Amino acid sequence: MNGDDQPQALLAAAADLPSLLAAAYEAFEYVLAELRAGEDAAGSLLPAFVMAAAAAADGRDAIITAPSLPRASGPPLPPPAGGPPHDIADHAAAIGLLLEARLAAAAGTADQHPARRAAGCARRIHQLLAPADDR
Amino acid sequence: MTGNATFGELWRLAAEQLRPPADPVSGTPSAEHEVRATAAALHRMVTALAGYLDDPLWQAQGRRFGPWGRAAAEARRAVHHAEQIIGQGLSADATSKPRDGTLAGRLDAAARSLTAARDLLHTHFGPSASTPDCAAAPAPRSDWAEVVTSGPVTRALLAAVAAQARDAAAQALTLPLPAEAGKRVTARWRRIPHACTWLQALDAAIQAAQLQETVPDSDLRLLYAIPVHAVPGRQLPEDAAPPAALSAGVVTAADRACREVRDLGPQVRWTPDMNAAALRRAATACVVTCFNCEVIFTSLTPAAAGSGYAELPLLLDDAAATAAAARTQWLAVARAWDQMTTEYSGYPSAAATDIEDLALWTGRLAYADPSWTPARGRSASLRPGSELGGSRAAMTGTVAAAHYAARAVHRFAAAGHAQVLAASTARHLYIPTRYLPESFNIPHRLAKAPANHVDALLGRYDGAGRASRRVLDTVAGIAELTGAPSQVLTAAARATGRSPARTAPGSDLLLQILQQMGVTDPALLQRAAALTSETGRLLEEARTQGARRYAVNSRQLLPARPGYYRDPRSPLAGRDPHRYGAGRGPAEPELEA
Repeated sequence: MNGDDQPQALLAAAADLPSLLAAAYEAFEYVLAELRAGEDAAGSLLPAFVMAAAAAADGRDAIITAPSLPRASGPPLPPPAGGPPHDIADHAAAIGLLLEARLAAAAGTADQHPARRAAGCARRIHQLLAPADDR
Repeated sequence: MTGNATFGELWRLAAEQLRPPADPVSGTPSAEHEVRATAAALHRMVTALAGYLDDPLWQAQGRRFGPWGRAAAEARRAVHHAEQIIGQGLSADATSKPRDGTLAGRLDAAARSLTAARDLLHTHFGPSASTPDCAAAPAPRSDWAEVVTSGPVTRALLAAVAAQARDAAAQALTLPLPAEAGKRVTARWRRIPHACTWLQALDAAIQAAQLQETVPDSDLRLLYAIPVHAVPGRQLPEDAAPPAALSAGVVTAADRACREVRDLGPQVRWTPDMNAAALRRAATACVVTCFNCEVIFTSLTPAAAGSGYAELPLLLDDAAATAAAARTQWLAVARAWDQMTTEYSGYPSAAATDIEDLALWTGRLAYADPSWTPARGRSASLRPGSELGGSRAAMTGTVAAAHYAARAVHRFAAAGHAQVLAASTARHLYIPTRYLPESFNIPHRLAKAPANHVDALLGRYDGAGRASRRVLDTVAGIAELTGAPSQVLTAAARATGRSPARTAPGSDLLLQILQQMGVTDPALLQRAAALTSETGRLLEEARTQGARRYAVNSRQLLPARPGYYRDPRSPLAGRDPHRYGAGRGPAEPELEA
């Protein structure tokens, strides 16, 4: 597993709600860092990158208000490797899709409102960054 | 330009009624009836003119601007004489509507247009707000309010009123004394030329002022361009809309955004719907709007080569460069928000929505893709310059769109700064503890934002504001050069004394001093901005804690310039200057070029 797969791995491995929320938090932070690192070379993808980055920050902020989120955060994920803008967009879009799917697990819990909001942010990341035929 | 009815449209309707008719209505009614109807209509006309001269909106201005002040006073006396003379003996039937096309009908229609035009100007003001130092000052509720009461527009209005009085008199004097008129009709008829003499005196008083201080045509154009204060409905672009419709849509979206921001600007309190999510959305939309404007300027440049304006390509190049610089600064704002957050109210932010709409509209104008959105996958082919500026109409429409967009983006810098300052003062700003040094050792995910982080964020807004101002100034120059309809924004800024020169980047005192010293070191300028912000927060905190004595004693300490109260960075922004011993009327955000 390379560093770029870690957000997905964390999300997949989360067995309970607190660990899922912690993984989601890290995943949003990761997407944010990944997009920011790629913005300067994004070219015509700049609008999609900056808007998706804002959605990632919003998603993180939503998760942070979830009651079940562990108070202490673990060590941050290693910084994204970077790459061509389209690769970054593909990767961030995939994480967004996974985040949206996994956050559905919080339905019916005390965390459902922040999780729903975060899932909306994840959906937006995917909508902004996925190739047109993949949305 | 915004599609709203303007003062000029109503005013011209009145003027048209007062021109000699090309085809007078046939079928003359009874002479007595005609005299009575004409006298009544002239009375309504004179009353409408008196409405302008007596209006408190312009009374204060009249007292302090030299020959025009004296002229206004003389004109007021003259119109009251005319009103008194023509109003004598008018019976209840004087209110009946005269026949269209007759002299009475035309005077009546002109009077209605003049009244409607004055009502239009009043839409920029709310109910009167009494203050300790001022009995009843109309409360401005739009950016145009200050233009309406500005010296240049007041002078232009007086000149326009004089012209209407002159034309009304000229028309009323054409009414002949009916043959076989009775004593009463003759007496009534005589009042018409008598009243007209006073209307001519009104005109003469204003003409005398004109001889000493001529009203330039540009001031009259500004007066005529004042639109009704009505918030346009939210619109999203239709697929495959033509460039002209897209330019108009950009103007409307930018106008809506500016109105939303104006409602936010003077408030020093934190507005819950302008939380981190909304401010992030707004900053991001400003990045995209600047990006799109850069594309538009770049695409226009080849078309400008054949436009007949030798310097236009160079100016467009400059505009593209300034838009790129502003985009970079806005990106820095967006990035600064990565490490900051607020409470989330759940309320949607109208201001953020409007500026996002503006990003979409400018994108549709910039790109050839008829369904362009910021999402990946849309074609990034640029709209050909020939579509944006192939004709004079297209060029001026596109320039006006970019001008309005630049103005909105500039506004958001000031509003964002004010909101961050307010959120900080109210202690609503937080930072994920991950972004704090380990030495803080806070066992929570969030902590109150430290001052240096807040300063950094405020500094980013300052930078974005300065960069956005440069775009605005550059596009304003292009609008003037090409005669784009948006040049009215520049004229409005000049009329209110807020031309670019007065609101140049670095208008803070400390920054000004550094600039006068020739300091260009970004680190020093950044520190100056931070100090200004800190001073603002300190003063605001003192105010919030109810330090009334400070407010009273500060009359001697605070700068007396009215702009201080309008500067969103000022701790007194939006406060009533009368309370602090300076300026006149409630504060409002600047209306830039």
